[in-house]
Amino acid sequence: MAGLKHINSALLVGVLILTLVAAVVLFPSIFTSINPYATESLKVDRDLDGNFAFQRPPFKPDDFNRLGSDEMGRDVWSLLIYGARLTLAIGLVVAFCRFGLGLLVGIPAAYGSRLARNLIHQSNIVFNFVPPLIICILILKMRFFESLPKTLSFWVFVLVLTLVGWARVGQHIQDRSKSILSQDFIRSEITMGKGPATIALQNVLSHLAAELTVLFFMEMAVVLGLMMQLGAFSVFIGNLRIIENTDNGMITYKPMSFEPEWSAMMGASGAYIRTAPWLVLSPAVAFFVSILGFNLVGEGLRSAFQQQNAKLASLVKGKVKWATGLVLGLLVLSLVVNTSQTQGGTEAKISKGPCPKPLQNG
Amino acid sequence: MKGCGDDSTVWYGCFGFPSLGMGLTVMDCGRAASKRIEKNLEGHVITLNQGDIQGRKTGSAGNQELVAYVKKTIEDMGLEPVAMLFSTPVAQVQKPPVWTVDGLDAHGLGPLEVGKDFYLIPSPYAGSVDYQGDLLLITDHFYTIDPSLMEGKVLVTEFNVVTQDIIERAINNGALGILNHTGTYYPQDFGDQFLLEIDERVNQKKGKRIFLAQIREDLHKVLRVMATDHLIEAYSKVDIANESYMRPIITGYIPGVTLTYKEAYPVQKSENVQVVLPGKDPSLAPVVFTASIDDRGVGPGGLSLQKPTEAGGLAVLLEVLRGLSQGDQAERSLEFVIVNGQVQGGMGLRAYFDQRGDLPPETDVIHLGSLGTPDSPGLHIGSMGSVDQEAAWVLRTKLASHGHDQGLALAGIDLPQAYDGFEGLAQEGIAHSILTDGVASLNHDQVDMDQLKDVAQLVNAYIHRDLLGANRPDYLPVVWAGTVIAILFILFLLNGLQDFGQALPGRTIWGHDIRQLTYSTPFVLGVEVTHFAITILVALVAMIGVLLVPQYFMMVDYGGTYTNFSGYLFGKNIVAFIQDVKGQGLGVQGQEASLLDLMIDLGSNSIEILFYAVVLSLALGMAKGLWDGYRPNAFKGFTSVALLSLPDVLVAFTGLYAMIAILHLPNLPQWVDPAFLRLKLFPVLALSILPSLFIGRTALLAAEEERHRGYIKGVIARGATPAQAYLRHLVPVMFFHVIDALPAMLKLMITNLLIVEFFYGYPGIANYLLTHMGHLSPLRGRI
Repeated sequence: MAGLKHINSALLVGVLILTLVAAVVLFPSIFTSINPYATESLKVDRDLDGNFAFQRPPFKPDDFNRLGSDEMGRDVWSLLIYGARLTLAIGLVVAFCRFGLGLLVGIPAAYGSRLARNLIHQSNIVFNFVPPLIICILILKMRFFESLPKTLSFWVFVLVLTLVGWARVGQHIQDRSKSILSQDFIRSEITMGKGPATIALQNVLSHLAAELTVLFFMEMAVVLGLMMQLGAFSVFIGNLRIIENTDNGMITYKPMSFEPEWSAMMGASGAYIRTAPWLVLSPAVAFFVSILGFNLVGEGLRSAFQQQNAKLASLVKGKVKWATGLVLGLLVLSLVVNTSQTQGGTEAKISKGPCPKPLQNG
Repeated sequence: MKGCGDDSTVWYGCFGFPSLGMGLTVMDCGRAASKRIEKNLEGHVITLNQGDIQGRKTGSAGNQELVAYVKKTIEDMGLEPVAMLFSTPVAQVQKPPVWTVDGLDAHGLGPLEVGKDFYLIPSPYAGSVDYQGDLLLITDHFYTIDPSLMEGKVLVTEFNVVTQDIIERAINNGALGILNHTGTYYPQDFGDQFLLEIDERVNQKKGKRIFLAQIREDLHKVLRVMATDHLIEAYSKVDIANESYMRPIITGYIPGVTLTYKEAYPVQKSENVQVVLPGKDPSLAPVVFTASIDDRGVGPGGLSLQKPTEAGGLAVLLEVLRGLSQGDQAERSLEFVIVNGQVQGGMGLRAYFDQRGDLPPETDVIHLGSLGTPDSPGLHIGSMGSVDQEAAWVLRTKLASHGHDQGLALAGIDLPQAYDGFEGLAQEGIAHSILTDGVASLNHDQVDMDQLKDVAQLVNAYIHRDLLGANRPDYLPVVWAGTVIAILFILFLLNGLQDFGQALPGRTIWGHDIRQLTYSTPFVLGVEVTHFAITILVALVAMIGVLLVPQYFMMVDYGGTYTNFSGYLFGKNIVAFIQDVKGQGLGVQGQEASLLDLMIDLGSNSIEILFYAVVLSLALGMAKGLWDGYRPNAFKGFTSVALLSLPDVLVAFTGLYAMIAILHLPNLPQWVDPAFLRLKLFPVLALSILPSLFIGRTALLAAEEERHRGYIKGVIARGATPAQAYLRHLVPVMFFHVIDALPAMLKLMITNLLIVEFFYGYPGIANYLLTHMGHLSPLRGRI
């Protein structure tokens, strides 16, 4: 029992969840056999009396569509499975960009660059007081951004999401680097003839590494949360607008994505939150699970790094390095897989016209 | 003098008026304006639907009583008859028009007998019939008809759109097919795929042609019944002038057949109430707003037919008139006509315009009619006689963009034949529904007051912006400049605030360590609370600043007035803009009077739930923090992280579903106020769950951090129990950390507010902001 007390349960559960997520990203076909692009526009059933019952999508959950279907008749479960790839890729890229920018500006700021310090300070003020959600919606809802093709839209998305969040990361890096730079050993490094750049790379970064790893996982969770909020307000990448209703000369557009992606699935919430809860709750839960995974790993790493017991710390640290490396590696791998598929895959699929119907059993 | 107590505030807003000197706060004022509209509208609807007025058919006692009420209401506004008499005698419809068909014998299409060849289902239908014919004519109550009647019949219906549900019901009850306005089809012949195709195209205009083609194939069967005196009489009985679509079918497909339509109605004196507000330029054609006052008399079950929905249109018209009674003059004359004899027969408007030979063809006529179902009572705005049809389109776009599914305004053709305008519309298959469709069983409490209020505001907005503000130049450059200045100002303010705030996290105030100040708590608390209050204020100001930008993006889309950005960019001037914001002109987007007024009103709603949520979060969060922090263990730490990972969207949705489930409980106790659940309890709960978890975790972390400090060990070594050490030393520190975390919590909460307000349909500033940004359709609907 004494051993149980010292098990880092947060880290353990978190790594388990993220491994599962990575498995979904890498091998989606294990989890579902339904084509996520396949649409279905009508289900016909006969009851015992021989009466017809027509069902229009979104279909309720049944034996075939375990989690129901969306408004185009696409299977929600397979959308979730295949959507994990793109969703996590966005999250990962955004988090990387935030850290990249944060490091690029934060360390010079710690060295005393006025420009860098002001940049971080002012951006922090703007994005601290105006909710990032509003800024993202304001920018990404503009017609111009809405009508971009998918690949471009991906990078615009990354750019905006990076902009609204990098300053917080930058501020943190600035503060931490400053305190590292004020320590005595830095002075001795300087006397040994190291330049500022070398110190930043060799000393500051290595001291920051552990903390940045923790922060990175937390940041992933934050980005995913923001993506989820944006999705709920129908802001997602590759926003394809469909003309919904031309009756009486009235044209209404409906933002939809042909690409399986979680925040795009959240976009249905506007129209279906009351009538088709499965459509909204499924991606919400998927987001929750992955956010939980990232948060738990982050938290687990944090407490692992903070362990007072040196013996235990070294033991855990070894495992932590393994776990961190494994999860990060899997995620990067999934990103690589995803981007290589993005180039050829999806746009060709859309231009091919209507997708084949899924094989209905019976 | 214009002020809060004044009716004019309903439309003009009160900010900047002497009302501020009348001891009323700004917030009172915004609410007063909003409440006033609602109260007035509701008052009209209730009066117009009083139970003791048994029907207000044209010429009846109830009708005269209501005419008197309308006249008195208008006189109370201080309006004088200007160009014409207040009341106008108008020819009234008592009998439906007479139809005659000649030349049918040559085709062997003899007259059919009612009850033998076809049967007319009265509306609303009750009881059963013994009927052997081919057709089942369903006038409007599809769902009240005995399903066994459908077997082997072709259903003749009057739905604009045949829904899947209707098809399903018809097929399952053995019907041969459905003949709608525009066509018919038989599921047995065409199979499911055909059904599907039809259904998919039914929303498109072109779909109508497909239906017609199907008719032609089985024309004989259909026409044999349709082209008879009986069927025509049947149509006449339901008060619908169906000539517009019957005529081409009958005369076009049966050679040699002629169809005569003759009005045969006696003239009856009744009163139309009319108010004319002359315009600056008498040479311009006027804009005529009309609403009907009569109803279809008393229907089965003692209910007055079509009262509430029509009353809605009349109520809106009266309130719009009230807003104009303060003397603003438009370029064009504005006329308001409350017409008799319109619901009963749909002839009142025509008769009225027949007598108005003085109206030039360019006149715009906007009729506030209604159409509703028990599920969604609604108002329609119809317009006819508009040359460029813009007026109706503007209103229609606005109404639709406000989320009214049935928001429908129509543009017709050619005055003075106003009625012909409607006939033109009837060819589109919709005009008659504007004129006559209504819901017999509605009570006044079923009228959607929110929707009514929206419609009133939109009509009013149209008048103020597009008519009163004629030739007003654009003011966008000023808006942009103003927005930039506002943002710079906010940044400046925030900069100062940040510097001030940074003094605190350093844990020293005027050279004193904050921990030493633990026992001079009031001082430190005062500083912190001030900081917090300023943060809230600044966040709100920033939100309003941000709000201005989408407002103006929207104007580009709105109403077709400005089709592109550059058209929008050049033209409005600073005076007009300032007037708009102050409320002398119109609120930017045709909302209530002034933007500022609206912002204050909505903002106070938001602050209200924010306040409760802050209090609740602090209470819950501190309770959790105290519990978790006393003896922290791995499990408590784990759950505090796991719960905080809950996305706010998921929390909001879960709360929403819980609320819907509770409100739908079959035996919800009487003392439970649904409005309280919907507008207070659940939004506040959804807002405070995550922030309270955040506070709890902040407190827990603070306790963990402080526990490892040396002096705590010293305290325990000196003999204090862990509980004493906890209460005396850790808890105060936790409090300080929590107070420091308040701004972060508020930020979390404001983001949360966006989600909660939007998805709960809460009338707050965040909901307004989001629904007006981009093309989000507002979520409106009753739970």
